[in-house]
Amino acid sequence: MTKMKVNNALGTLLIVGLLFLTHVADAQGSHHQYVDPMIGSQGSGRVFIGPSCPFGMVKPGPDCGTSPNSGWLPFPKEVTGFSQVHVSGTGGGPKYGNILIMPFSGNLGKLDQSSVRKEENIKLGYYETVFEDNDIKTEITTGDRLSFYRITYPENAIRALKIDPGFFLGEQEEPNAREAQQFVGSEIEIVSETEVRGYSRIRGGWNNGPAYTVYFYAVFDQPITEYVTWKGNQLFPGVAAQFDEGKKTGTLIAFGNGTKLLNVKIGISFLSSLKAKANIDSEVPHWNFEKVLSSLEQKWEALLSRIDISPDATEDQKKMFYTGLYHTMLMPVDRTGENPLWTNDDPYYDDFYCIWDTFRSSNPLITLIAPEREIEIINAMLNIYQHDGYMPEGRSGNANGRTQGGSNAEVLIADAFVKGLKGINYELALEAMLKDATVPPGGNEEQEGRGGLTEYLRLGYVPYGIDRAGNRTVDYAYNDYNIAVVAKGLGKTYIYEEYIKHADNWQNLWREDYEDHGATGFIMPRDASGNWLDELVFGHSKIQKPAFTYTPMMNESPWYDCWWCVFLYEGTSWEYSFSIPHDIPEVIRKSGGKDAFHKRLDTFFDEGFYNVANEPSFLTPCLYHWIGRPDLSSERIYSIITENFNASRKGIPGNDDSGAMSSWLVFHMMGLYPNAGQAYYLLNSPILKESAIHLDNDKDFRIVAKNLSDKNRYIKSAKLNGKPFNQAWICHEDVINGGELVFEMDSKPSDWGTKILPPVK
Amino acid sequence: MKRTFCTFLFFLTVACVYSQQKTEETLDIKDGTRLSYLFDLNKQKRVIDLIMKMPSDSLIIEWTLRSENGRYVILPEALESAEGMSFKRGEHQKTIVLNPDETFCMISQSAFKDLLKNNRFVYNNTTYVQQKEDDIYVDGSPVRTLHVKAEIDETEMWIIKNPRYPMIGKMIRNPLDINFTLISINTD
Repeated sequence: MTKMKVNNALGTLLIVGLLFLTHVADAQGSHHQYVDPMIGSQGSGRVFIGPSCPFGMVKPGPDCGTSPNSGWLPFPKEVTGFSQVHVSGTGGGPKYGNILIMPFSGNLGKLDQSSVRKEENIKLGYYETVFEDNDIKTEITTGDRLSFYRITYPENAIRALKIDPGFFLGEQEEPNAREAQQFVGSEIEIVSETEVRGYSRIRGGWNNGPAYTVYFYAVFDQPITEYVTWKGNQLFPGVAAQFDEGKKTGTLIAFGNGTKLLNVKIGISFLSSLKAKANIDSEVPHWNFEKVLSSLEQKWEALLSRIDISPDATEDQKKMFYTGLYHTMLMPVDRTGENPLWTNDDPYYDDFYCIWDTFRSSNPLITLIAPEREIEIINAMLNIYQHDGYMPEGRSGNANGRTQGGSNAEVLIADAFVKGLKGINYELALEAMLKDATVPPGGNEEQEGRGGLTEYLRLGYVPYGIDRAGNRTVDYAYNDYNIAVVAKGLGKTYIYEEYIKHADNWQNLWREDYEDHGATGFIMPRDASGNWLDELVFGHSKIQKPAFTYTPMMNESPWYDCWWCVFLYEGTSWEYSFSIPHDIPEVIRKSGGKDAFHKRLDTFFDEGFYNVANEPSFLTPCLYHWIGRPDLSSERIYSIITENFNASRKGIPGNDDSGAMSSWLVFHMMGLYPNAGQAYYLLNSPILKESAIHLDNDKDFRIVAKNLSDKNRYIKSAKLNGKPFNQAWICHEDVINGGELVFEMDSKPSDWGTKILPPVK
Repeated sequence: MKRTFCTFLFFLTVACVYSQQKTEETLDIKDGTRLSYLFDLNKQKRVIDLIMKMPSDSLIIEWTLRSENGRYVILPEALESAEGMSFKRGEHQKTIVLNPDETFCMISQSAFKDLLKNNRFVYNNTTYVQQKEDDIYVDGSPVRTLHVKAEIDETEMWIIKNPRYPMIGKMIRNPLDINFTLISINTD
């Protein structure tokens, strides 16, 4: 081909590409209109439904009592009020729910102002409800560090507002109950006729953390005409302040019956109430509700528009896709400049909730669409390591905790490293990873680092009797592989050689001859002497020693063991025996070879051993790739999505876990799925006909599924940038170099992708 | 005088029998009786519904926990003279026939007799000592029970005064971390 012809061809390609992108963008209009915050709000999803900026620190929304993790519950449950800090999609004990406000009408004599909603209107960045008994309308939007309320009272009603810094989610009667939040203190002060400030100090919650303090500064666009403060159960009319003496405090304030409208801005800070005020002054010095909402929409639009999907995608597909992207970017939260523990200019992120959930798909998705965020998140983790001694596995309320399995910060670092993210000190990162792998955390082994590390290093596995011995072993082996990868890349061969051996440690819990439902070999409990354990003693009686038979299908919690004490956390041996993301070929070999593994996978899905509602099996539907049957991976994924995900309020099958479930869906809708910590994506039949990722290097990567239909769900052939592409996986580098991956779809499986199997360790 | 004494004796006997009957019939457990328990399983709460079935001398307890269900079978000899309670977890859509010396959610008739007679009984190799007669409240109504406490491990149970089916109305401090409380009864 002559140079001119090449130029012409490139030019044509460029024009076609531009036309496509222009076409997609024009056809879609704004992307944020497809975000439906209610998807996953009911059932198991537990997503936060109120307004939030991307990775936003402040998340104002309704609280229906103290039990729901994200505050909101469906009608007809009463609304207790609206608090300013929430998390999204979490399981376990609730966290936050701080600084509750509640508009009401009437005298300032009653603390409980709960009301029933008669309508509710929710979209990205906006929440609105009208209460049945008093017709008060509450609208909420938010900035990064403040919430904005527009409250409309009925004509001639006495406009009143409760501010309750003593409220929080997850309160339980039992003192020091595990994962319950507990009251420490609160304070309130009417500063002027338009200002109230104070704080809420709470401890505990999901990560069983120490006390954290949420400071607020509320400003009103109209003067207070009357106020009552309270401490404990006692009301104090006309008393402007209640200091902190370990009792719940708050205030009821009235604004007379002038205009119907009251605007309220609530600045939030983790440093001080004056910093909370400064957050208002710097971010939203005006009183324009619509402007705040518009700014929020623009922030989201800038991120959501980094992926365009085909204009002829169904309305539900668009909603599921963009809501999935939205959920992925709600957490962790950016609290840079709001760290009460140490001072520097580094990024500070909190609410890693937890990396065990998010490392598989959320963080890789953030890396793909917003690498600058992933770099900040990892640098925040390293900053935490430098000051707290360990990177977080989970972190909330400015405190590390808790671990569920591995020290999965290692996966995030390895993922960033192999995908070439710049601006991270990988020497420091390797040091932090090695701290996890070599220094027992001591004391509370749920807080950080690796519990059972001494035994793991001595035996090559965590013996039964130590909480979560099974999945800790499996996860640590993968984390050791992550260390090996980074060490090798940094030229530290001696570290690589040591940790690549440790990466095989999962095999020490692989019971070769154990059979169940036709499959051979499982991750099974083993004591410190090396004995396999069939019967596991439960309870702590001095004289009774009852036992139960452990099987690969078993989840022994809650009957026989507490949920954090089990052998395999939130999963069975059937699931975890597939969860070896760095060494699937060895799992295949140990399972009896290709055919036996094929049968094993079929049994797993057909017999209902696969659990769509939790993360340990996120990669498993793709494992057919390693036996040269990507068509079967695609079949499983298609079934999982169509049977479990949809655009309804119950459209997420398990806890969304800070966007973990949602990001799994987003990847698969495009036809990509990452093996986190490794530099490639597995390719499957897309759900969407077209998607285009606009990369931060100003290049675009486009995925097209030609002739895709309900019938044509199989990949017949593929071309990458016009050249035949016969493998069912693609390197990250090929994606970020931009270009076009075109699948030709067909109604029956082909031999595409069957020969060149995914990379091995 | 003699007639007066006989009359007194007659009324005393009637009163005793009535009293005993009243106690024994505090909770009438029959075929089809439905009992709901709130189980506290390693700090997690679960409501488990039980239906008592009495097809022969055995007692079949059908259980439902959320979407799962199954059955325990307590053999006649176990009903009569078991020496321990099983804490085996039920399996979905399976029948677990307990060992001849095991009951579930109840003690044996012989153990209950020991309790009435000696204020103590041995179960699961533990001696339980009666504390007092006590009422537990189910659906707001009192149910007569005998409150016992284990000498070792300090498990406490409130055993319903039903000599044929001495069900556990409430259990706390079980070192196996499987505790439960009867929260509703339906004998219709």
